[in-house]
Amino acid sequence: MTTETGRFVRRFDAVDRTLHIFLMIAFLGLAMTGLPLVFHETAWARRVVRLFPDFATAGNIHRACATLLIAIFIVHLVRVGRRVVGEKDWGMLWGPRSMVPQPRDITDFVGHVKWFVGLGPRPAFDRFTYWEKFDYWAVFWGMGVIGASGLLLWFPAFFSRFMPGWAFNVALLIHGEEALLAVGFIFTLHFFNGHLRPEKFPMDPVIFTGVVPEEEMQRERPGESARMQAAGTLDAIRTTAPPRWLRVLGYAIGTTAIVTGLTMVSLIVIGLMR
Amino acid sequence: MTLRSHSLIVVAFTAWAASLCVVPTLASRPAVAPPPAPVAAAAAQPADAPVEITDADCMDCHGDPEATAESGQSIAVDASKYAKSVHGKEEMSCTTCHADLDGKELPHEDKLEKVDCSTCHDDAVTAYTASVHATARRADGKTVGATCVNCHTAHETQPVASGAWRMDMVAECGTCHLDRLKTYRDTFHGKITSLGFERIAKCSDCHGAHDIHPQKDPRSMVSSAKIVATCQQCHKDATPAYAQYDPHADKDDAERSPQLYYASRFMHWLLVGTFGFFGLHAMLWLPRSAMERRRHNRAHSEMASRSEPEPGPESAPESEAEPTAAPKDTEQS
Repeated sequence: MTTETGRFVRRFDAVDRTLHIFLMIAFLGLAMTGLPLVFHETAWARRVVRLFPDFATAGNIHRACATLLIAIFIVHLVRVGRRVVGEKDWGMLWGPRSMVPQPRDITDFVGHVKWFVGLGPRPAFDRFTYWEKFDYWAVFWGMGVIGASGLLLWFPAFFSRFMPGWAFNVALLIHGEEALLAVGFIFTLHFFNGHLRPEKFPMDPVIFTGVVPEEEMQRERPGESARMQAAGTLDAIRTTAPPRWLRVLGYAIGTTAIVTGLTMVSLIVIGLMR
Repeated sequence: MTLRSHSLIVVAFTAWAASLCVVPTLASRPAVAPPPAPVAAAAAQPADAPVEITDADCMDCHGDPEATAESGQSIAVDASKYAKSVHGKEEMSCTTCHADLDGKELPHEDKLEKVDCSTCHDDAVTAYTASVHATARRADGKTVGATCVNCHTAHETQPVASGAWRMDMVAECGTCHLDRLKTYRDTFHGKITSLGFERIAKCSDCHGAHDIHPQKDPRSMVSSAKIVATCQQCHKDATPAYAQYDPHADKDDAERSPQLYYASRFMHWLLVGTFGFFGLHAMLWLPRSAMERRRHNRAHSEMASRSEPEPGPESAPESEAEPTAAPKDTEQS
């Protein structure tokens, strides 16, 4: 529902958007090469692995995507670290702009549920809503758990020097289960929360264009809008409409990802029903 | 002894009889053509042969897929499957193995004697005789332990180096070792096998084939004395610490694999909790979000009709205060 005209405000910078695109590529690659192992007894798993010349190739793609994802994670951590330590931007760590859960996230959540059922107004969300924070920290936790267990499985001889044998059994189990959680969450709930719910359907292009109409910001994040207006910082993020090619590209990438993701969700459901 | 010498005669004769048939056929057929049915080999016996029973004679009864013994047990033999088996490809006739048919009248009444595989497979049978499969049988006479044909199906057995055999092996061992099959399936070895790949550890790669011993027996490939060397067959850099990994850990067995058991329970409830919570959240949100979109679209179209140019940001006047008013469908995009 983005209008091409009107005033826009910047929400994500170019590096964050690029990182998100690489994140999508790595995530889809990992899911495609990893899910057949979780659902190895289904017919579709056998068909998916036949897309690769042999199993070693699928494994190499999996590890290449894992390396890319770890690199993305490190770049992100360095960027956050630079802003917090280098620029002394403590608001990143605590406050209305922060990704760190705040007490108000609880009241926002309660208020939002009340609004769902018609018992109150919609909370005046700020820069990140509680479900966006959950998405972020779920991925953050997932990176740690899947990344660590994956490295254990990748270099077992090295890690067996100081890890007990059962750690590898546990690593294999949680690598698969956490991956199922991550893939299932991203392809259903993240898609719904961010893109597929009627207000956003078919998708919210902000992660590709980086900008939202100012009117949308006022409507969906009145807390952020009012806070920045009061602080006089709103002008600094005002910008023009995104170029048409960027919007088209965003829709193309986003739609591809959503179709791929929902296909994988269907395969997971088939696998779970066996 | 008599059985042994009889068998040798039969083997020697059959080889001779088969060569009579095979040599001219080999010269005339393309390499890829299926081998002639063993029936043909036996049928080519000269009239003065000491043994009269041919494969065709046997198949008169056993060729009927419905054929059963008096007990009701099937006695059918599928000649086409036999022809594709390792013995069929070697053009061995029925009497090569069922040597006690020699001199019997057909139809034979009694059950034939058990085939003595050691006639040809001497080493394998010697190794088997010392293995846990054999000793467990001998110990009390009740324990079920696999014999040759339990794993190498009598009339369809494949060469053990073949991919087909290696893919079937897991199911063969799993016929009895159900719990081990289940835990094997939970590991990389098992998952990659069930995805259809052959070059990954199967049962016999770690446990051996005919010389299987209990883990506590130092002769066993998985005994503490030999396990590292066993892992090193594939994992060159395996160490004793590496071999502590349990390739049959059971996530449902708190005694055998306590850490895995609790990790599995934790992951289960993490998944149920996350999907349950946000699933419910999304279900409550969906109708509200649909209402919101309709309301927004209506406000937009009203605004567009009032003032032709683009709406300024100030002119998006949705009040959040009247959430229960259900808007009518005035869908415009």
